[in-house]
Amino acid sequence: MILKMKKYTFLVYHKQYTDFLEKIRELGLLHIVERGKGTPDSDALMEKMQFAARIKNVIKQLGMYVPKETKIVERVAAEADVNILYKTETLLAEKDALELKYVSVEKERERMEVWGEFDFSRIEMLKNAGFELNFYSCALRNFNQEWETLYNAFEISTIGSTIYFVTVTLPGVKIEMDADSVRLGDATALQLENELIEIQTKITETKNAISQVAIEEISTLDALQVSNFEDIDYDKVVLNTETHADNRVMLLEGWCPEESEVQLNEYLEQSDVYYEVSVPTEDDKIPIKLKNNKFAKLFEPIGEMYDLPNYYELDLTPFFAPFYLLFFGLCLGDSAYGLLFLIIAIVLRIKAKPAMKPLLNLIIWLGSSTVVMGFISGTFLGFSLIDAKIEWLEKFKGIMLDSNKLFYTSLILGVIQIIYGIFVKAFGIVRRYGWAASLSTWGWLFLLVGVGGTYAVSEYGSLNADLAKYLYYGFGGIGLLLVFILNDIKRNPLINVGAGLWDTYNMATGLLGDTLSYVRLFALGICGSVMGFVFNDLAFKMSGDTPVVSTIIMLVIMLIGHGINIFMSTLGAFVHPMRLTFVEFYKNAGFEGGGKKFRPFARYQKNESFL
Amino acid sequence: MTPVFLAYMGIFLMVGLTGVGSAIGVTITGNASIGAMKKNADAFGNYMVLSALPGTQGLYGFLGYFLLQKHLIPEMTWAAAAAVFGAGLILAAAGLVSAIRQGQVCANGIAGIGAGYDVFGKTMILAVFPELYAIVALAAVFMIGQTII
Repeated sequence: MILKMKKYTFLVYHKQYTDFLEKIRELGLLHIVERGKGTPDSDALMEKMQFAARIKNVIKQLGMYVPKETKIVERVAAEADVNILYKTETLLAEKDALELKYVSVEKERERMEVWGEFDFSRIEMLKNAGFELNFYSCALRNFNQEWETLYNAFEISTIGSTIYFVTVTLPGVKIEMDADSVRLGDATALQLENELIEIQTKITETKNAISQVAIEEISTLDALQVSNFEDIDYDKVVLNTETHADNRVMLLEGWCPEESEVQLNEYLEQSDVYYEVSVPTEDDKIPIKLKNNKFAKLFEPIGEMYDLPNYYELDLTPFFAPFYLLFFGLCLGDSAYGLLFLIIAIVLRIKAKPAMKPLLNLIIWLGSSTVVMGFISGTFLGFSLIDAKIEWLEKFKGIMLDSNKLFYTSLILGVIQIIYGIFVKAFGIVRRYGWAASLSTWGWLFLLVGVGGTYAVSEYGSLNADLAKYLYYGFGGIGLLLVFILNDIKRNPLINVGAGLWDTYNMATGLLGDTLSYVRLFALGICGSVMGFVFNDLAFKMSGDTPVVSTIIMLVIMLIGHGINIFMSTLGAFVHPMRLTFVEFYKNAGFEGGGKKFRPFARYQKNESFL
Repeated sequence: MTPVFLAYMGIFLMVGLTGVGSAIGVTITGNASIGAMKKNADAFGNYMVLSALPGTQGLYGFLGYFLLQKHLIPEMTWAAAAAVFGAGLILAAAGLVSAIRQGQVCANGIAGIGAGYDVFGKTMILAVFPELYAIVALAAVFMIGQTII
């Protein structure tokens, strides 16, 4: 069900505006109307959004520094402290810089390692004594022995096929050799090794400091993020405010659900704020707030994945929920898989957070449906219940569907959902535009349900031929009259006939395609069952005859095989009923969509939606 | 050539080409996921679900073989062999093309999610559009299997 909304227009004196907005936010009942083409940007808003990204990034990085099995200190009323953010950012930057430095020192150490241990003062002494020292490397085979006499070349080390050497020459000697000149660093390999140890110690210390912040201050950063989000929301409201009378009067519009308006009005009556309340018009973009019973509410996130209904149409969630449940069970089609979902969801639900409970409740429903539909399609962990020779099962075999029956059942279920969808559409048109506008839709129902039903009963049941003839005439006549003549009672009947023909073409082609689409229920159900059967077969045939070992191999094959099958089948069982809902059912139910979710201006609450 | 050889040619095409289609489809989506993770690594769950979608056609090919398996006997008639071959060809063509195309739809969705758009649900709905034709082909295989004597 879509909650009825009221439009509020406020005129507030500028000095009272901040207090007014604070109170409105505390109440959390008003969805603010966006001006023009959405919320305009401002530099301050952009800065806050960038700040939010900074906080998010820091929180994410801190998450990696929480040691395993360490409990984070959760402060109930943590205060937003921006200094913690700066401190953490500094620590993270220090850690990054140290890690970079470590890499570069490590490279330098590797480079200097070939020159061994030496004293830089000795090199300085040689220079002071008038010698020039140059360092070189070249391929061993290119080293010319003459260089030892020409340039006093001394080999320092040979690593692999490369020789490292130094020349000691007097000033003015021109060195000409086929070797690479090497620049000597400022420290020896040993000194660099010690520096690496120092850097590593600092990295460890910095990481420990970050871990400490992660354990103790994540709540503070969360509070900072919340505070920043609230500032962003506040800025958006201010940007959506119109100013009049030289910025002295602020004009704001918003939507409030009718069921909450008493609470809002109570505050407004006490305040000095001038306000007007009006009912929405067709031109308004009214936000959508759904209110359904406990069962249908579980399916709201699934419906929202496609689109929300617009304000004037029906919320289809309670109408598609039972079908989705049924189709999921049929597509997964294995009682054991359903049982597994059921048990896992029940166990997890015991200690689950409140935000997770709707998801687990949905899994309990879907698991239960799979248990039932899996039993009806005769599959348990890939084993066929129809072929099983179990005494107590015999009495249930009458309700079990083999692949042939499953094929036709899928199509019949499709026909049922499509006709149900057309009923919903007719009901929706009556509610929105009145009976006259719905006549054509009712006409199709007379033809599909009346004529089709009469045909089905006379073919597969026992219906007197004369009675059937009158029923055909009755339903067919009324149906054709409504579809071809009365589809728009204010229009020329001849145009109505043309419109009826066009409608007939669309209906005939549409219905055929839509019904055929439901064959996926059969295909997915049987696919999962057959894959389960094949994995069982593989497990039994490949496990051999060795006692114990065979059983272990068999269980491993079954575990892996059914694991893959559960993943693939569940994915299909989730997605394909969604397609049947949003394409076939929504189309026949006349869904228009385009609704925007009701998001009140309120204190920030973490979005813990599960889909 | 014997009838059973022709029938097995159909099975070869059916299982082989649907498998090839799925392999290409999931490779397209896998590559897209890796690309998207560079931009937004947080949505890996969404990428994985969308990446797995084109994998179903390969299973349909195998299911088709399973449905026709009982007819694959050395003494089968030419009519039965032609039916099995034709059924295999139908599913092979539909499975191959639909898996690749489904992979492309999913890859676009993955790129969209990576770029920060909330298109996971809508991509899932759109991605199963091409798969319908593999399903219809599978239903045809099932019905052909029922008619073979």
